[in-house]
Amino acid sequence: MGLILCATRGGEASRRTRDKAIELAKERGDELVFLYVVDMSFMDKTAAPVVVDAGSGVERMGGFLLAMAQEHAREKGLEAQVVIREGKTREEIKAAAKELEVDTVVLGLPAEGGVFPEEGILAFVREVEEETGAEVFLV
Amino acid sequence: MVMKGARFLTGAMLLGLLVFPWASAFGEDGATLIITGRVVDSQEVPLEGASVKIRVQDSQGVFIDEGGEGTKSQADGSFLLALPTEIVALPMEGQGELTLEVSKASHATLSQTLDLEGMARIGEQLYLPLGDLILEHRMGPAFFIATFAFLLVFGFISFRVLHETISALMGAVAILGVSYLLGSSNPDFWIISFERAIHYIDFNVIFLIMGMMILVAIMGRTGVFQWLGYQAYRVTGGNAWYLAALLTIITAVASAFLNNVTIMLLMAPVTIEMALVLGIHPFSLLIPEILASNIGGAATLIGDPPNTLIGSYTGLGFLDFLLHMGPMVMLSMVVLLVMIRFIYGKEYARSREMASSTLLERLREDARITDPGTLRKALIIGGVTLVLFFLQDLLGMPPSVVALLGATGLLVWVRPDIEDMLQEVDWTTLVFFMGLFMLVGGIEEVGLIQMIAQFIGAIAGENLVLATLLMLWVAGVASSVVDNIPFTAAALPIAAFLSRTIPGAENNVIYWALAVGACFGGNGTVIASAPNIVTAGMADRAGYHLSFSHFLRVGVPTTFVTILVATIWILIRY
Repeated sequence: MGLILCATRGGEASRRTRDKAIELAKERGDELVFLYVVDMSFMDKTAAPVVVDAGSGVERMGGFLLAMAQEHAREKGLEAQVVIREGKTREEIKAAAKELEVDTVVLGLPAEGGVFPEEGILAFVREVEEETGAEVFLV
Repeated sequence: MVMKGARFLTGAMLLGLLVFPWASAFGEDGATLIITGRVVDSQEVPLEGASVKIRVQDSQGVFIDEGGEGTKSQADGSFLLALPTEIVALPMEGQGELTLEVSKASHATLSQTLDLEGMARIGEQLYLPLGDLILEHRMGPAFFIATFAFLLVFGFISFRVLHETISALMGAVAILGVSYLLGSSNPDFWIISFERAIHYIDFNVIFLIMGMMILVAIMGRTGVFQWLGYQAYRVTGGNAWYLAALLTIITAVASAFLNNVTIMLLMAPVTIEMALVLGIHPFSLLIPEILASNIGGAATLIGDPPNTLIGSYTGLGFLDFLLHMGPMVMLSMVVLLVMIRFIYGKEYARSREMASSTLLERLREDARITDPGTLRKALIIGGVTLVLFFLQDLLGMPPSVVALLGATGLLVWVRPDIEDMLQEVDWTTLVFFMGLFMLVGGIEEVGLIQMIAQFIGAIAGENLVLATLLMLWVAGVASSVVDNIPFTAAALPIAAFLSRTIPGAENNVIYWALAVGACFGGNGTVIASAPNIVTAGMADRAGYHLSFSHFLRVGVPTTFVTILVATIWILIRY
């Protein structure tokens, strides 16, 4: 039984990605892990006073989004696990894939709301495949 | 003949009486001529640090005394120069001429023959008051370098090319570096001295922001804002329109008293969760909150940094802002609620509670008060601080002292560990303001601000209505595109010039116009204001990308209508 890692946030783009991951997991009989990365890099370009732990709020929101993904998977007859990591999105996806020794990584293609700029996604796919040995599905 | 002789004698005696005192003073040990005056620019703004000296020419026009180092004008532009009376004797005896020379970097040198007619004698001393000496600005290398540095920094900050703190520091260091590396040997490159740059830092603003940072940081850790958001959800029973309205009002009120960036950082995640629970697009709740945070922040001295800058510069207090800005903010909030009902009404109508009990429980858990003890203390101290803000003018207390009192009181009561205390302060923001103040000081020294002020003054003339509308709408449009903090810092001296020169502007209407424009303009685009940017970032983390064009479709109409409402109010009220 293999392991599928699906990086997800919320929104329409992630919904398609999640559905594909669930479909793959059911087809193959693999286990499924949803991953949310708490990436606060958007705060870097403002000097606005940040005197609260904004990351905690994002982490809780991420937990909520993962809970939604889990419920969605359950409705489709699949029990999924969830993982939250903190850091830069790409690095944490690769790190999670390595640590969990996943067989497949499911990523969303750039769209409105996509995490990656289009020109970077193919390079990232190659990086993941080379560094983790996992197969990558772009949705 | 006798009469003629008598008249001649009388004249000689009178002449002797006039001349003799000076003649007797000449050469007396310790007798000096005290020359006083005031150095100003063409807008009658006092110039500090101008060099004033007297050069002595002989009857052949050759300078026999270059005046040494002379003296420097003080902060109020005044100067005092003491000369030995031997020097004064030269022109009196027709054997030379005294030339007054006033010079300052980035200004044309004033050189004129010293007119001794106004000289007066008091006791042993001679006095010669010269009145105001006007130095015109000169556009030399220093002017262009300082202007370029400012525009570059402005662009970096506004379009998020570089971190704001780095940008502001870079600008400040650039003008100081040019001054000392090049200006020391060539006055044409002299922009500003370090001491003068420090003088431009408004420490009242720095400490006010620092104090409020600490207050909001401690309050933010209690989970109270998230709790308020969730309570809004409970109270409205899942009705999306009521929820949106209540969240908007909560955000506006909170932003009036606390930093609106922090408010949005804390409320955005739980707002997104509530939207997902209701099955509506998160933007239908988030965007009204963003708009409300910028509008609400305009209500008080401490709500938005432009107001803090204006208040400190002008001496306008907390109560002044509340009384003058409060009505405009309330009217604009009413307009905002109507607009969001119109824009998002269909989305709200779609809402139905879609979440399972697990998710609802999770939402409730994410929005609970995490530290009730600290919250209680924070509310008490916050309340006392608020009262002190109201009494600030009566007590003659600078707002920074009020904020520091509240912050220190809360720290002592809640968190005595010094390391933790230091972590509550976002030092990068304070350094940003310091760098910005120095940079704006640089462009003031070289005359850019005065030039713009004169240009606007020429357009407005003595028309207060025109000047007010110009300030309001220019600030509104500019703040929609560029960061409103550096814009306000640069616009303040211009507002001061207009307030000084236009009849009727003593009621501070031009400052209120600047405050409204700078704050409300922050709703124009997604990059116009920090709360917009951080909320967009939060939404992106949830998979909802708030594009520039999407926000524009809501932000521009809202900005236009709210500024229009403010315009009508200002025209009626003032």
